[in-house]
Amino acid sequence: MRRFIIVLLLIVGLPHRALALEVKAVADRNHITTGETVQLTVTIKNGEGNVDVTHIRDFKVTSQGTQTSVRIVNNSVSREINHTYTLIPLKTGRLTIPPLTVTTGGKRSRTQPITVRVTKTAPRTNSTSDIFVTATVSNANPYQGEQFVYTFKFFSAVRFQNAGFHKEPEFPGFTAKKIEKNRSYRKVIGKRNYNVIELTYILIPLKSGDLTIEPSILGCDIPSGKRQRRNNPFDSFFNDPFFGNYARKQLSTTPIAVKVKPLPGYGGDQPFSGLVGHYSIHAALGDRKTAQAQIKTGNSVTLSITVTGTGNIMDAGDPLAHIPSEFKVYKDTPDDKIELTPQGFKGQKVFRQALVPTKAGHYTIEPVQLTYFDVETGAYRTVSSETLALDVQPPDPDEVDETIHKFTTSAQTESPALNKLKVKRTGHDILTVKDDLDSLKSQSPLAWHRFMIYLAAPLLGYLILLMTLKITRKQDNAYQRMARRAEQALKTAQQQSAADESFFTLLYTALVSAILSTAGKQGTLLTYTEARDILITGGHSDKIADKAAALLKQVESARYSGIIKDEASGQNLFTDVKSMIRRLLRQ
Amino acid sequence: MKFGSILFIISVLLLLANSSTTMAGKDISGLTTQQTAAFLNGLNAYKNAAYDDAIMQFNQVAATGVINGKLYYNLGNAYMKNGDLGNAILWYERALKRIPADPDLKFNLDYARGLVKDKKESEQAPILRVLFFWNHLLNGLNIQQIAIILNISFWLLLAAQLFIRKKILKAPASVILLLTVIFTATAFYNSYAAQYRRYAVVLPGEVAVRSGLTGDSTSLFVLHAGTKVKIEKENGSHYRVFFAHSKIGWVNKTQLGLID
Repeated sequence: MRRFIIVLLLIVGLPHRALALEVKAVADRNHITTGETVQLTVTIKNGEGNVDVTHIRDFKVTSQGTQTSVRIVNNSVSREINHTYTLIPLKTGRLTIPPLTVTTGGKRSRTQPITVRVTKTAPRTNSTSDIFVTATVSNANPYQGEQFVYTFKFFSAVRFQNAGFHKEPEFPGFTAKKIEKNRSYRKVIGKRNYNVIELTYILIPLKSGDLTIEPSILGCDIPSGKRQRRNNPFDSFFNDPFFGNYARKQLSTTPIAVKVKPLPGYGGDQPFSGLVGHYSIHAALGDRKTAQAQIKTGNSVTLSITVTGTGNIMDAGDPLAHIPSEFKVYKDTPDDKIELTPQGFKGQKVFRQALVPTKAGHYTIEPVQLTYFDVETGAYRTVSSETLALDVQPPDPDEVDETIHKFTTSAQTESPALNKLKVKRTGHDILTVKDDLDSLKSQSPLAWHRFMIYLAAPLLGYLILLMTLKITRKQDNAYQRMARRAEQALKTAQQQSAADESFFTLLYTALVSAILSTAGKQGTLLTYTEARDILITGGHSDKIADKAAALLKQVESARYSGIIKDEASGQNLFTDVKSMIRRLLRQ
Repeated sequence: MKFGSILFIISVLLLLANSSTTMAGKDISGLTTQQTAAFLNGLNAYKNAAYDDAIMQFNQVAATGVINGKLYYNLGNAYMKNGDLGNAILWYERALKRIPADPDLKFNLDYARGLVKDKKESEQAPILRVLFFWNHLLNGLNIQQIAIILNISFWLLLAAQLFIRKKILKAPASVILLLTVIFTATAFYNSYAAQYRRYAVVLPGEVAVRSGLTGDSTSLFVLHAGTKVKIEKENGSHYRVFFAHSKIGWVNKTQLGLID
C-alpha cells in the first residue's frame, strides 16, 4: 500500500515530459499447429485507447484482459497499457494479423501486420505432446431434433495446475445440456501414458443447415522446459516443478462443422408428435396397469398413456386418445422421469386422465397412436398402444359418488383417497340471472336536499332538547333552591335557642326564601308589601298573604329590636313560622 | 314561542324530506303489477333462451325508473347471452354501482371483461381501493343511510349526556362522530363523482376515436366493445373521452353508454 502511494505521488508530483504515443502489436509465436493458439499483445505506450480487432478474419479472437504498468526512468514517467488476446486459427497456411487501429483521444494509430504460419497437427498417435485437448461429436450429420454427443477431452502426460477454461464450449444453434459428472481415466497413446479428463454435452440441433461448434480454449500451468545452471546444490531441489518454474499454456480445440439434415416431409394420417429418436407407447387402465378394468357408473378409472424412449422425450405432447362419449374425462398434469445419460436423454412421460363413465355397458378404448421420426431408419414411424376394454356396471343405489375426490394427481402415490384433485375449469359461462322480486326495489341514492335534511334533523332535535332543558331547569332551580334554603334555615333555627343571636335571622331567611320560592324567584330580602303581593300573585288567599306578611314583620322586629327575650315566646314564633313555611311550600 | 317555532321548522323539514318518498312510493305502487309482470316475463324469456325478449322486458322495467343492481345485472346477463358485449358490460357496470359486493356480478363482470379486446392501460391505484374500502363494498344509498344513522346516534348520545352527566359516553360519541364525518364525506364525494366524474362503455364492436367532431376527422385510435372510458367533456353530439395517457379523442354519444 505504501509503495503504491509513493508511486502515485511520483506520478503526480514528478514533472512530466511530453512523451510520444507508441503503439505496437506482438505475437508470442509465428508458427503454430492447428489446435494451438497465438497470444497477441497490443501495447499502447503513453496513452489510452481502444483497439479495433474486428479486422482479424483468419483467427477467432478472445480478449484476455488489459494490464497497465508505469515506469519512471530519469525523472520521466512512462505508462504502458497491454491489451492481450488469444487467437485461434480458423485455417492452415500463412495467416495474417492485419494492422490494428488504436484510437487514442481522437487520434488513430496503426500497428504493424504480423504473419503467422499455421500447419496441420501431427497425428496424435505419434505425438510427443505432453498435454493437449480434443473435441469430437458422435454424429456430424444428425437430423434436426436428433440428439448427439459432444465430447471434450483433456490429455495430460505431465503434472499441471490451475487448469480452467478461457473459453467454455459454446453451441450456437443447438440446445446443449452438460452431463454433470466428468469422466476421468488413463489412456496410452504412442507408448505414453496420459491422464484423460472427459466432459460430455448432449446437443440437439434447433435448425437444419451447416452449423459450427466453436473452439474451446483451456489454459493450464505446466512445468517449463528451461533448465537453469546449477550454482549450488540447492538449485536442483528448488528447480523441482513442485516449487515453481511453471509456464502458462493455452490449448484450443478445432472448430467442428456439423451438417444438420432437415426432417423429410411428412404426409401420414396421424399427426406428427415432434419427437425425434426412438420411442414406444403403452396404455393401461387403473392402478394395476392392466388392459382391462371393471368399474361402476359414476366411479373413476385412471387411463395412463406412457411414452418411453430416447431423444427429445421432454417435448412429448399429450397423445390423442379416443374416449367414448359416455365418459367424462379429467386430465391430469403429465408426469415425466427423464435421465441424462452419456448417450443422451432417455426416459418416459406419463399422461393420466380420469375417466368417469356416465352409462353402464362394455366399452373399448382404441389404441393410442404416436408418430415420431426414427433416426435409425431415417423415416417416420407410427407406434400404437394396446386396445383397452372397460366393463361399466350400474351403480349401487346407496353408493356415494366420490369420483372426483378420489382421483389422484400424483403418479408416485398409489393411495388415491389421500390425494386431492386440483380443480380445473371445464367450461366458461356467466352465472345465471337473479329472480328475487326485490330486484324491483329502487336503490337510488337519496336526493341531495333530503340527505341534508336527514342530517340536520337530529341536530335541530338536540338543540330543541337543550333549550327545553335550559328553560325548565332554570325554573325548577329557583323554586327548589329557595325551598331548600327555607328548609335549611328552619332546621338550623330549630337547633338553637331564642337567645342565640342568629335565631331570628334564620327564621327571617326561612320565611323570605319560602315566600320567594312560591314565585320561582331568588332573593334574600323582602318588604312586607312585596311579600304580600308575591303571595297574592302566586294564587294564595289574602288571609294567608296577610298572615305571612304579619309574621315576616314580627320576625323582623324580633331580629332587630330584640323585643322577644324569653325562650317560650321565641319558640312560639318559630312554631308559627314553621307552620307558615310548610303551608307555603306545600302549595 | 321559541320552542313552538323550532318545532314547526322541524316538522316542515321532515315533511319536505318525506314528501318525495311518499310521491315515489305512490308511483311505484301504481306500476308494481306491470313491473312485476314484465320482470317475470323477462326471467322466463331468459330461461327459454329468448334473450331479445328478456332484454326488452328488463328494459321495460328499468324504463319505469327502477334503479336496482339486480335488475341491471339481469340486463347485463341478457345482453351477454345475446352476444352484445358492450351493452352487457355497461349494465354490469351500472349494477356494480348499486351492488358492488355481489359475487355473481363480480364473476360475470370479470368474465365479460376478459372478452374485451382492448387492454386496460390505466387503473385506479389499489391503495385507494384499500384505503376507501367501504366505498367499494357499499352502494351510494347504503353510505347515505349509514351516515344518517351514525349522525342520529351521535346526537342521541349527546342528548343522553345531558341527563347522565357522566363522561362515560364521551369515547363512544367521539368514535361515532369520526365515523359520521367519514361516511358523510364519502356520501358528498359520491354525489360529486356522480355529477362530475362520468364513465362510459363503448357499445359497438369497434369505434374510431377521432381528433374532431366530424366524421372525416383523423382516427386517432380504435376502441372495441366493452372498453370503459372516462368522459372528459361534452360538445353537442360528442363526448371527449380519455382511455389512457395520450389516448384521448372524440366519440359520438350514440356509440357510448353512460354508466349512470
